[in-house]
Amino acid sequence: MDACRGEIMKDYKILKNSYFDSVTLMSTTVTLKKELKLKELVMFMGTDMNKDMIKSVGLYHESLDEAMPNDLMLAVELDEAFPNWAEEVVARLSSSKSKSSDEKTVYKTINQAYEAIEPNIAVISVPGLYAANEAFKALEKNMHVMLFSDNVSVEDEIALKDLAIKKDLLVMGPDCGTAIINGKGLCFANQVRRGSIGLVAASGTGLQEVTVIIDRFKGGITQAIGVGGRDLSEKVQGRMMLKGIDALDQDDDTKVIVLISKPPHQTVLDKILKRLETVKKPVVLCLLDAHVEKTPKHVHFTSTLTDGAIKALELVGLDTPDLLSFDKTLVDTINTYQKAFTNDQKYIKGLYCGGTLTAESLSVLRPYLKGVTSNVAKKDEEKMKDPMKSSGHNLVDLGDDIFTQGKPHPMIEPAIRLDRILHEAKLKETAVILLDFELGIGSHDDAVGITLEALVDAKKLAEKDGRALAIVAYVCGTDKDHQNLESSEKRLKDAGIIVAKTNAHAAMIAQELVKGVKA
Amino acid sequence: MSHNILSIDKEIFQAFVLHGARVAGIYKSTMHISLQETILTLGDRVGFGKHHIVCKEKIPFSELDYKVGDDVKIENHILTIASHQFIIHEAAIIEYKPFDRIYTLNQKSYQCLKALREMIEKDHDQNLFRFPKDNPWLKYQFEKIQVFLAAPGLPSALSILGLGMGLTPLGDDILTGFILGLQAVGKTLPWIPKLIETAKIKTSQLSYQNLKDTYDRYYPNIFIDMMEGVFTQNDIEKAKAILNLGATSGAGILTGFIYGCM
Repeated sequence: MDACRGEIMKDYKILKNSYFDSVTLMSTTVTLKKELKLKELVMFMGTDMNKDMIKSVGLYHESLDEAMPNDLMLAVELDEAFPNWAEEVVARLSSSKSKSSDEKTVYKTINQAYEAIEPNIAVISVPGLYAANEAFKALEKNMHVMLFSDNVSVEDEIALKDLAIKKDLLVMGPDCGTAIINGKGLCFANQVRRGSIGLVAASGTGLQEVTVIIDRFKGGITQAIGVGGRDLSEKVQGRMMLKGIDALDQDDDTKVIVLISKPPHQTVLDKILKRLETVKKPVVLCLLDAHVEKTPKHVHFTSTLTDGAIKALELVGLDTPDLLSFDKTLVDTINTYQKAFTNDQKYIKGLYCGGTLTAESLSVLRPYLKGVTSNVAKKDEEKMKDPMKSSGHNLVDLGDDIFTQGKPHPMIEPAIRLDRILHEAKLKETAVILLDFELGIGSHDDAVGITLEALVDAKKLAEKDGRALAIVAYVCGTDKDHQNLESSEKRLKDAGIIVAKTNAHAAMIAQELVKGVKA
Repeated sequence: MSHNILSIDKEIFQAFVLHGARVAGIYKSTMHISLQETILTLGDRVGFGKHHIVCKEKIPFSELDYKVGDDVKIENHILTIASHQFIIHEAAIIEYKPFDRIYTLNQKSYQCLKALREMIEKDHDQNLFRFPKDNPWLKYQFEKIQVFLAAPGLPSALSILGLGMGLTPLGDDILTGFILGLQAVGKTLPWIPKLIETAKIKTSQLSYQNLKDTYDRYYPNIFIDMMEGVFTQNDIEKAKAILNLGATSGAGILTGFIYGCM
């Protein structure tokens, strides 16, 4: 093992005639670097061009000269001695190889899958240009459709939904990220118990947040139907929301219906309210940022996801504690931060993975914070001029297209948020960093773990500059999610992060922290 | 238990009988066999082609008792590898010939290529392209690939030959697709033979085999389907089936193909 550049050590290994596919190598490199705390790890076939590439970053060693094009070269940079690193890497590569040999049957077309197993639902995630075509094929085979793809034209969306209604099927989407059908989570969803609350939502993380809170207080769900963010627009006229209401109204297991959306177009809202008049079950109408003057008696309007979930639980006879209250420890913590903030520290910087959670926070903070802006805002005066640049009170949805071009969504790869966290921490004006973490299927296996180091560094950066930086986080997940909710929250708390009970609670804590500060 | 061979090239069959071969690599659903200087791929989903041996049954090679270096031989129309036997029916011995069709690039096929290029650049997310390009290793690869695609020539081609992580590095997939694209529309470039000659020592054996087969016009069916999809049927769906090939190979080949044609 070579020691150079102070304490950094380098080591090398050649695996003769070894082949792993490039995606396995790439993703294993990312994981192993993190897990084994390797400063750098490269794994490439022993071709001259790859040797040049390794040379270009100063990681090459003459021992790699022996590598032939059919061999795999491993090179590593370490901060601490780790004699068995190569064995660890090989073991991990072998396990991912054998893992991938647990091969499931892959069908290349919808028709092939239909002929083989006759599914009744198709989840479609192909480039938008082709998505409608695939969805039509699925509908023709009498399958419900979950359309994860975006960039589907509004005309196609309307045609698909009309065909589905005609065939008594659902089209969830386009751009639908969350659904739970007969207990099965699709795309991004949390593990929640089954019960008697049915939901229809034009919002992915909004649906996750409400189902998570319902589960946390012993409630359960029958179905959670996503409809896609554009369903309640003037053009689409809430076709699937109305269809979803009908489906849940007819479902004997569903005792309470919850509808979730950002504000619908007025004509759509009128249609929904009219339809709700004939629904026989109690309904919670959770519309962020909307104002509804008059609703039928059995329809309960709420404007935050937390309130929506609490109301639904109440309607099925389950109590919840006050999820928006502050206990004494929290009040003390807030007071301590308030005293420690410098005169420059005035602003809240929300860095979100969930779009609807960003919108909910905006809705919660708007009455209290003058000049709060966001890239999910609809009102011109609230829109962030440049979401890449921080200025004043900002709530940034990092899942926005401008952040995800060529990159995975932050719920899949939260690492894209790390640089921004550190950037905000360096700003003298930052008082509070507000974060969300989503657990559940589809989301990163350890979103908290991957972010923790950056959070600790952010606090240290501020401290070095004579500032106390408050970080408030909310973990949207259940105790049944594979990422382990308890451990996720504990690690955050241990790192000095304030952990909120719900997303709205997190926003309120942030607001309280900067209360009295003159912006 | 015996398996059945659906396709083996006649020339390869004869070389097997004369020389025998050895197992060179064992994977989950395919196996590489080294026959003299040639690498053959055995599996049920490898596509019909000169250097592919297609078997009828899906075989989990990596879970069975095969070892690298095992003898592979053909006697009495039975291919034997370790304790496993594959029956070769007469109809499975096929004389593969170079694909000699040349296509015309017209408005429709041009639009089809354009749509595919757009998809690769913007939407395709099943492979290396989905990783952030600011990753230093990918940045290095994609910068060199961009240089080649902007100015294809021997120096830029050699700078991506063997460049990439897997056994068929991304750079080679791009080159394979590029040569395929050129040949599809009846073009050639004087430096391609030198590239193929260099590939013999500068990249993995399998990748060299793919490049040489492409240059010699021994195309697997999936290549022919892609060309037919673009040029004859103007069917993007058919053309993009190539994306199912390997982990990154399909997207690399398609990228190179688009630039080769256009």
